[in-house]
Amino acid sequence: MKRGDWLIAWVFILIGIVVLTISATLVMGPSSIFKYVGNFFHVCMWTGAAPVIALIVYIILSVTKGGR
Amino acid sequence: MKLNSIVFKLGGMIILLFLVLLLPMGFVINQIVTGSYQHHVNDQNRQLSERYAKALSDQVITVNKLKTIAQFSDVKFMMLDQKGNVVSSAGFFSRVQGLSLPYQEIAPVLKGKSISLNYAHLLTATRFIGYGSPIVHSDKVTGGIFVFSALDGMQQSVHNVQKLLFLTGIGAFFLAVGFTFVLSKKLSLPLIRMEQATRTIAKGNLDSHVYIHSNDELGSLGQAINDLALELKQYQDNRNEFFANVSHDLRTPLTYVQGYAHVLNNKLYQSEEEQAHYLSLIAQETHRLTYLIEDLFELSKIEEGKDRLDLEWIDLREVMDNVIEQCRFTLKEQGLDLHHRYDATLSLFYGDGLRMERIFTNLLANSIRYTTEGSITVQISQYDNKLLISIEDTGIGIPENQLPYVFDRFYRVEQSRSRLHGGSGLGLSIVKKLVELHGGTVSIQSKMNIGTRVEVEFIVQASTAGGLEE
Repeated sequence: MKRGDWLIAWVFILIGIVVLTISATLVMGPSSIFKYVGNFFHVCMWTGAAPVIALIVYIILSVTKGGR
Repeated sequence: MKLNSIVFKLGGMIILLFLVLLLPMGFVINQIVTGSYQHHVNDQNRQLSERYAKALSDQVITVNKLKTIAQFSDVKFMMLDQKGNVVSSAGFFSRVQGLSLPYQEIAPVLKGKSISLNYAHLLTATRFIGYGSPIVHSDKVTGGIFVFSALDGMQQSVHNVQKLLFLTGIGAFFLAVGFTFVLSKKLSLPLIRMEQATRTIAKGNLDSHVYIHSNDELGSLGQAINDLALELKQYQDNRNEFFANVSHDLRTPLTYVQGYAHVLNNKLYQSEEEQAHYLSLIAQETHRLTYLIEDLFELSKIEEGKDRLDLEWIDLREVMDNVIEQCRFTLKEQGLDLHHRYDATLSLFYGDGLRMERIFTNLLANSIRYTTEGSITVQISQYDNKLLISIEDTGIGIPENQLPYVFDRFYRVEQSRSRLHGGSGLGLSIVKKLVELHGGTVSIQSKMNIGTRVEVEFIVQASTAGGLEE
């Protein structure tokens, strides 16, 4: 992948995370910047959860397969 | 980037799949939110309605006090008499006393049952969701009380949740597009690399390689392309070598013929014996040319599938004896011993006699050609329904790493060896093709300076059971 491709992908991901953060914060009513930051962090964490789980499963499978 | 590229197709498919999941899930979430909100409000109305009805039935509270409480707690209620007329209300914008609710709808309450109902205000057209409970005095229904909640507020809340759900959907969509972009790029990259490599190979650059380090189907495909390039390179090298060999093999006898013809034409010989010798050499060289051309023609026919077998029941011993007889002179000339051993009982074989003779001739000729001293052993035996023909010699042998290629077309173990011993490099290739045409297999084992053993195996058809006894 070229640098431009990575940039496009990251822009899309960032827009997605920001929009989700706004959505998650607005539902609680009037909010402060701290709530936005907190929710942003949480959305990032949940977004990264699936790849991290996949990575762990991959590592476990690789180690198990390699051990045989 | 083209719109019909694999990146777009793959990405499009993933996004489509995402939308297929997201849209119905959005609808279901919307239904869950609306339903649970409505259920919650209805439950609240029921509890209040039952409490008010009980308090009025037990006369622990008056209607006026209830009205005051309702006004403070923003509760909307209507109290009905036995006939269904509104006798008191709270929380509504206008007076409703004296107005009637549809009797069919409120009738169960006046008969002692609790009900939930929807109600639209006659004057303001505001829609309400309500719950009615009967007021009972001394086991007699004296009226009913309905507690209402305006749907407007609830709909506004649901609408807000829907907006946020939509916003969440958009966020999720962007997130999915970003990840899909990376994923489709990563997945399509090996395919693009392979496409580029195959195009380079097609242009003739056979040293081109695909570098894919995965063990999945894509890795396997990449390896297949690399193997193909290697095979093509080997084929090209063989072909070039073949053309070089054939042109050399054709040129050498032609040069001899030309030279001897020149001698004869200009009467440069000194005796009649010398003249006869030159003539015999010309004949020998033309025979060599004829054999080479015949080999090429034969192989070309077999490879094109034009060669048809003339099948008949044959005794392989007879065929082998004929071949040995033809080679007898050469064997004697080279001082080689030939031993042949045939099983006493052998089945007839359904094959082409002339082709069989060709197979045996080529194999025996090869053995004779590369055996300078020692012996050649020919054996024909039968195991169950298999006929095994083996030709073993004590010749110079073939290096082990060359064995897999000896049946390849135009393959020669060593150039110097073929120049010295002759042969076009087609003999074993023809043998393999002819054996395969008969449904058999051919294999070779060899050790340098010890000898070579070639085995041909054929399946015997069932109709020849019983065999042929010597």
